[in-house]
Amino acid sequence: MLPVQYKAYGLSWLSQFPMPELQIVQNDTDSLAAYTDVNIEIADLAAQWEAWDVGSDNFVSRNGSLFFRIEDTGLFLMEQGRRIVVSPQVGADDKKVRLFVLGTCMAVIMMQRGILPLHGSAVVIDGWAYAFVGHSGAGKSTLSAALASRGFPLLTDDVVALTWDAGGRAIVSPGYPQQKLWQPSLDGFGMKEQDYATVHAEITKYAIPVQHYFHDRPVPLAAVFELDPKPEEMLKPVQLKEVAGLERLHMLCSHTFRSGLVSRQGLAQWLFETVSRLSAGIEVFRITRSGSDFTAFEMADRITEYARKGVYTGQ
Amino acid sequence: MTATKPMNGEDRVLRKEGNLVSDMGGEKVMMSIHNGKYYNLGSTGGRIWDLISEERTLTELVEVLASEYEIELDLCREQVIQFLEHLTHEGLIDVTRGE
Repeated sequence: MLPVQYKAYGLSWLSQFPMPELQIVQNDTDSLAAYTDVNIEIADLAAQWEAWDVGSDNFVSRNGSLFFRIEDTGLFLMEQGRRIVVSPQVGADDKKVRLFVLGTCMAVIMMQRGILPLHGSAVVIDGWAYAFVGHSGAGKSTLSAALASRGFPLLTDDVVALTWDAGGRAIVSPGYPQQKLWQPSLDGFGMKEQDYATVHAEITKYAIPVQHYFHDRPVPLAAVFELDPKPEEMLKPVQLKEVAGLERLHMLCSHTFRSGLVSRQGLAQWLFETVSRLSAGIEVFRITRSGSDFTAFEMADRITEYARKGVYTGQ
Repeated sequence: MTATKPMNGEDRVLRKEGNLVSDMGGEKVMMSIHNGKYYNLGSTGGRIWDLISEERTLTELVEVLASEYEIELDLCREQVIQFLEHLTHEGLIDVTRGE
């Protein structure tokens, strides 16, 4: 059975341990099976961690590799964009270990391969990807779930993987068919928490399997929306504002997934060039909303209204 | 360089290193590592930035730009000085006074 070949973020991952969140590559039908982009392995990294002599720091980069340690969870090594080695701590929660593999480790692999990982979700509207970025709790997943419930499939949740096609267009690769929602969002959608598993034992964020509304082909990116909740402004309507020029650069840099690990790996110039290129080719907006109500559907309507304003084909 | 003393043709200009520089739709954009600020130098500003990757006098700079952009020397000098003073103020270049 093991190892298993999975696909996510436009890459093929061959893993020594099961990753139930990911889509399995079907060996007999899918040509992806012919090669592997990244190997995910289990090994004892304790001696190597000692040898790197990291001191009190929990993250260290050396020669195109990044090594980090998470208390009570394990050691994680990403090498040259080709290999993730995991050394789980005895007694660690498997789900928590996988959360780091699926999040930080995969994002670091993307950086090492020149794929830009933004922190956000993306949906598909009329053949174009729309990405939602924002800080933790800003409502990215909830907005994409609201759009999904209106029939716009989910492309990715949490990490938006961007590459460029031969014509210079930004392309979003599919993530994997799972959404992570907080309790208030489950309530907003009328979902029951006992139907879902928590992301890991310590937090009340739920993993929702979403195969039925997952889009598993890459799609060109039309726009990025930054979600900027303003809890102090009560009962204000949802507002959409265009973000121009330099502010885009700052916004996109600050919403790069684990952006602190970019400069640590000596990739600051790469990130700056990448977001400059991205800024020039897409539209960028900021959505503000009051924090008190469940406004995901109102926002979803504003997004689709915006996305479809150019689709008018009358004479 | 002080504001009271205008730039002289023999002043030598050199860009500081350590900034992130890129192209955004034909304009040169920059992020200063020192102050964390973002700048848009524009396309002409970007050309000046390229030219001062090695030390040049103001006179040299003005001559190159005036011929490349086909504008009068005096007008060019005035605009280049304004731009350089802005860069100085932001701590992005070094100006060595010449006599």
